[in-house]
Amino acid sequence: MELSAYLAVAALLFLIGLVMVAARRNLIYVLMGLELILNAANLNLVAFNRFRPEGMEGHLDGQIGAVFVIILAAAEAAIALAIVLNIHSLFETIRPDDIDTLKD
Amino acid sequence: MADALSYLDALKYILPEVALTIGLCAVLIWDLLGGGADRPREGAWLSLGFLGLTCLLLIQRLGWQEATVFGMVRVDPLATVFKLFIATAVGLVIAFDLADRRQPAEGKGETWFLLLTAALGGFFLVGTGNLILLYLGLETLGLSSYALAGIHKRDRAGAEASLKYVVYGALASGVLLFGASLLYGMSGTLEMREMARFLVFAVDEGRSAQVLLPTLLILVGFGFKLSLFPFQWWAPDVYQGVSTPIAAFLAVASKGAALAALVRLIAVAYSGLLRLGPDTFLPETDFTRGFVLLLALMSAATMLFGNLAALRQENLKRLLAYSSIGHAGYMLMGVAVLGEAGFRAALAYSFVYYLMTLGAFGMVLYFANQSGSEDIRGLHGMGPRHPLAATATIVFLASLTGLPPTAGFFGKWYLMVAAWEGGLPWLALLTALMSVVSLFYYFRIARALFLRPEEEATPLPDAPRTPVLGGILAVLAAGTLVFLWFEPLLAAASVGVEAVLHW
Amino acid sequence: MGEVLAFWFFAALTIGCALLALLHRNVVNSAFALLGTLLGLAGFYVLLAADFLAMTQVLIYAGGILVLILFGLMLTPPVTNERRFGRILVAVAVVGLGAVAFWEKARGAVWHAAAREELAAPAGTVREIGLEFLRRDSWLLPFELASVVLLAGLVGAVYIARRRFPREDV
Repeated sequence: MELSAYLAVAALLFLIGLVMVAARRNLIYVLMGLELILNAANLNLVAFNRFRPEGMEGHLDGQIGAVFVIILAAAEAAIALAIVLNIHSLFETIRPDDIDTLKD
Repeated sequence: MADALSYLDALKYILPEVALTIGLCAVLIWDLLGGGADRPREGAWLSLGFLGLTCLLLIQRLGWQEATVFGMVRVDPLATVFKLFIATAVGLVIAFDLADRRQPAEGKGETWFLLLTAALGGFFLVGTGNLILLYLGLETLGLSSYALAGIHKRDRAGAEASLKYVVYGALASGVLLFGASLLYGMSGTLEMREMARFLVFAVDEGRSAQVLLPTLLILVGFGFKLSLFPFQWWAPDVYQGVSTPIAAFLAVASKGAALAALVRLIAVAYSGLLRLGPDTFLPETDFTRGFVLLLALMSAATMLFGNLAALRQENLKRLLAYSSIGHAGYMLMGVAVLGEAGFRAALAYSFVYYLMTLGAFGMVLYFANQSGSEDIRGLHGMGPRHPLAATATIVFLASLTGLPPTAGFFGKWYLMVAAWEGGLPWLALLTALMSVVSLFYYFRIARALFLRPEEEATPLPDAPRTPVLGGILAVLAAGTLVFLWFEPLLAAASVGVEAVLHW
Repeated sequence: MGEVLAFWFFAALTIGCALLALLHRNVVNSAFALLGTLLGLAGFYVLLAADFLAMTQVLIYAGGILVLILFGLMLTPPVTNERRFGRILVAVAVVGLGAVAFWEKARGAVWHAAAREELAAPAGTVREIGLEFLRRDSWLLPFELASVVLLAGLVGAVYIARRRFPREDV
């Protein structure tokens, strides 16, 4: 398959992730959307890495970058879920629209 | 990139990072051994000691020759100056936290530890030309900040602030990463320096739109960290919800690191597309014109939003959040010029911003300790009773407004000159107008301090004395007032910009 | 031919499951649909000659992060996702339009200065990635920094999620 097919899949995943975050139905649902965005970027990195021109330095850079993204996604998911659990024990809800006491 | 440096020589360049890492491990071990809950002060001294050591190592490295070590870590004046910026700001935040008498003692060890990891992330963020390491540094800073925002876990406002910060922050950094992956695809490299010629090539071929898309996505990530319009919605809620020292950290250390990284990214990766870069003989491209216009419009919208929304705030931290949004707009104005003078003015302004914003948050902390309130009303009648702190406050407010004898005036003046000469006179005029607007809300604070009678409610019975905090405020105020400092600041910014432009 | 078939299979799995996760009424089902997306991506990585990454994807994403998300769902009340038709319609429209626009754009675009048609034969990457992580002028320092990030994430998450205080006095 050509590169653009992979890019199209990645772009679709990115958009679906954005919509999941914007729909704000449930905090954990929002986190799933964030994971999709990171995965879309990862697919880009790996696909570009496969199709990159020959004869340049660092021929695995894209894949290694993707490994770092996975590491960061794990750490980020842990912190975000901890914060969500804390929110749940204080507010008794995880609907984003109900958690809005700080405003003008 | 094979460097001629031996392993030990390369290690010498990153000794500050090594010292900081040892420091954060030491703080964590000290906390695990039971120090955190019982003796929070000792942990603070431990952290401050390691930060001091890091600063000494950094000062020693100021005059060193520029080098790229470990393949992707750039040690140049811009990096070193901003590492000092971050380390000293984190040190002051720790001092603020110690002086904050209204927080629970719980979780202090974790706070010091996370502040140090955030500083380490900032160090890598400002000192790299590799997009993945930049993302890694940004996320180290970001993840530590999310946890810091939520560290007072019994506090509903704090929990809500941390939630908003983590959701918006993770979204922005994810979008930035997607943009970075597209840049990688266009150039086949993660190094900004090698990327530059591919970007010029793409624009020359008429593929400006293809360069613009990743640029926009990356600006989302930086726009979040710098709280630029339209990515600033989180800032007021988060600054209001978290404790004052953490708000100061987010407003100063996090923002300063992001600004330095943005300047490096634009000056290096887009070096062939700058308006007034080293390659000015090239004809200006459509992309450059569009990029300048985009940044200028963002800057104008940020200034307008921050300053107008600040007018009707009652909570001091919320007011300072809007004011810091406004100041981010001023700094972006310098970046928008896309040339040496603009970058220099933006970095110089960030040093001035450091002094006066840390001072302003310190002022909130000082008076909140006395009155127990973070509202403007809590300041009523405080002036005559705390002359030193109130005088310092007046200095900070004058500088934030940009009134003549203070550093804020000079910083803003250089920014306006850079914008005027860089072809954005309307933006310079808007800045002047916004400074007049900001006078109104800054003056409200001064009026509350001196011209309003004291409230009926008496201050806290055991209003604590915080001489250290007063001392810090005095030093910061002196720094803001003595404009002679401005020349060295400008020189530091200038050296930093030259280092990246001629990398 | 086999590669093309495999591509379309994984593309259908990835996008289909992602849409299911987006649109399903129940969050738990959304989380399980996400599993399909993550596994489909691992399939893509195999097609793109990234065997180490495919493995990592299955182990950490499907095995770790998704389990974390399911734990999060178990520890919070079963929220009924009220259907928000307006938002969902907007969502579908945005996704559709974006996909069409991007497809048109990406098909014609030249991504590399020297895009290449002939791909190198896939080779195992585990050994090379391992060496890159430990080589001084390559990814050694980011690798070390990643351990600090994980430590910070661990400390922050444990501290915030730990319930030291009884529920009553909240």
